[in-house]
Amino acid sequence: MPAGRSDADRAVTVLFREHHLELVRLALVMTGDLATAEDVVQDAFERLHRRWPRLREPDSALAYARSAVLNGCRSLARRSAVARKHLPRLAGPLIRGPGPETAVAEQSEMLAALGALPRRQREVLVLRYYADLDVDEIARTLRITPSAVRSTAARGLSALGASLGRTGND
Amino acid sequence: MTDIEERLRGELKAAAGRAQPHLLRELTPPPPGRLRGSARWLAPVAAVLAVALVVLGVRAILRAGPAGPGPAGPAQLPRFYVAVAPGSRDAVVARSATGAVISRVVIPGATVGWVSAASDDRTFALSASTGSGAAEVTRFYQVRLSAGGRPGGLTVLPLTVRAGSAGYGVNGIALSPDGSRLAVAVVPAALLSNRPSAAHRSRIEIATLGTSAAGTWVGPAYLNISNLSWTDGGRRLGYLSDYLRGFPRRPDVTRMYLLDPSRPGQDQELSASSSAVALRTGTAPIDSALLTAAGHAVIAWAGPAAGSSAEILAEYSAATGQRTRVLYRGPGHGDFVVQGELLSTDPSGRHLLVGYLTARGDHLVLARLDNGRLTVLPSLVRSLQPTRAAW
Repeated sequence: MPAGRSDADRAVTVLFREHHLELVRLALVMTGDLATAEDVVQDAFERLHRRWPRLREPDSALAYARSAVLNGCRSLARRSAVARKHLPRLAGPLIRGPGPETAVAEQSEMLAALGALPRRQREVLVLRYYADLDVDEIARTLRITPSAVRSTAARGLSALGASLGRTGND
Repeated sequence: MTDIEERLRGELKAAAGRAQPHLLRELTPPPPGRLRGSARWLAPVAAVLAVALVVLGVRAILRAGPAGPGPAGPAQLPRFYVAVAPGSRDAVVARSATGAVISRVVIPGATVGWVSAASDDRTFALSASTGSGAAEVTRFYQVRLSAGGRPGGLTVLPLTVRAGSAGYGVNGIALSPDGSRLAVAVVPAALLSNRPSAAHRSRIEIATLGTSAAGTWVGPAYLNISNLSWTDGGRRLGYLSDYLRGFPRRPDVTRMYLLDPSRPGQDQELSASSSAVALRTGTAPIDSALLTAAGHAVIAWAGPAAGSSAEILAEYSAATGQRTRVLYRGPGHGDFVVQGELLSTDPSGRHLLVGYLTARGDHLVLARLDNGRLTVLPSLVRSLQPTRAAW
């Protein structure tokens, strides 16, 4: 049965209480900026809330929220790319840069290497090693097959190893 | 775990740990007029969080009355409505004026799900499911009431929905005004609860009663379909849809789609047979919307727009999408209709069945709205799950 807005408010509230911080952290490791991460997560919750009443099976809300957060990070990256492309015509940057307390991307060789990976590899590795999701959960979140998760993770680890000057194997 | 994996895990955890609860913005809705677009959802969520603090009750909300002008003239109140409580084994026939239960429609061994009405105030359609999981089967029935509201025999309609591995289920039904056709929105649970597949398509099925003629219109991958309603005397079918993959291109625009089923057949493309009207709702999200039988208007329950927490039931032009009048406005900040749903409209669009929840409430309130005047009807059960009702 589809859920009404009563269910939406309660379900999204519960989801927010229990997983807001976790999702902000997921967005933070993807974007490198806390304020931006909060915006992405807030947008994700808004979209989840808007869609809830017309969903027949609003199960897997957390997986859906994770997907929405990752989608938001991708959109942000696209908008950043557009902003960079048109920088001379813009009065200022569309996307805030990392602040001194929250910037993470440039603080570690590992995270810099992670940030240089293709998006899919980066998402799989973050979901696996930050969010501790198993292969099936990652597949559901990214809407790819489990075998694609495994191969993407392997390629990502290998690329990280190469970037850091060592192999990804023991 | 390899050295790379251990190091990656540690550095990701450390980086993520920079987001500490005390550094995050507080969850409070901004004051009216200053609500950011991305924070609109906070208003209803904060309303629910504040349930225990609310001192205004349903009575106060109902005294608020209609916010818009009344329609040109009253249409006759339907004599009966049929309501279905969540998970119920029967449907209740009730008198519209009082909500008094007249009779019950029982479908042995089945759980009744959805209800829809023809325009004659006597003919209703019900969906009823048996089995569970992949073995769930939903069948459809027509029942005609006597002048006193007593049900006659059930007529089984020539349509069946089987859940299967994708978990196909019913997400709304609509009986045509003359009672001759039944439209059913069929949606795979796999859209959300399992890994979605492009092969799992939502669809609209339309059965013609008394014949084997049927049509199926299949939506694009990842499409959710809901809120079915017939219009133009049963020539076109309205519906809402959402893509559940990626973000909507214009999240602030809700479109009512119109399916022209004049070419019945199997597995036709839904989008190729549909036109759309964009409802000009500003920043307010549409939660439910139905077309009137005459086809001139869309009646929609909208959630709070930016800068407001008021729920609005409004009428929109089916031709232009412009809002033509507000039928009901829930109280704003500090007062609490936290959400509502348009359940059914009579052919004139002047008598509406709605369900809504107040912040103090522990169950969905069933009510009728007649020319802007709200009257609470007896609840079938004290549940937050939606009660379905139609007249």
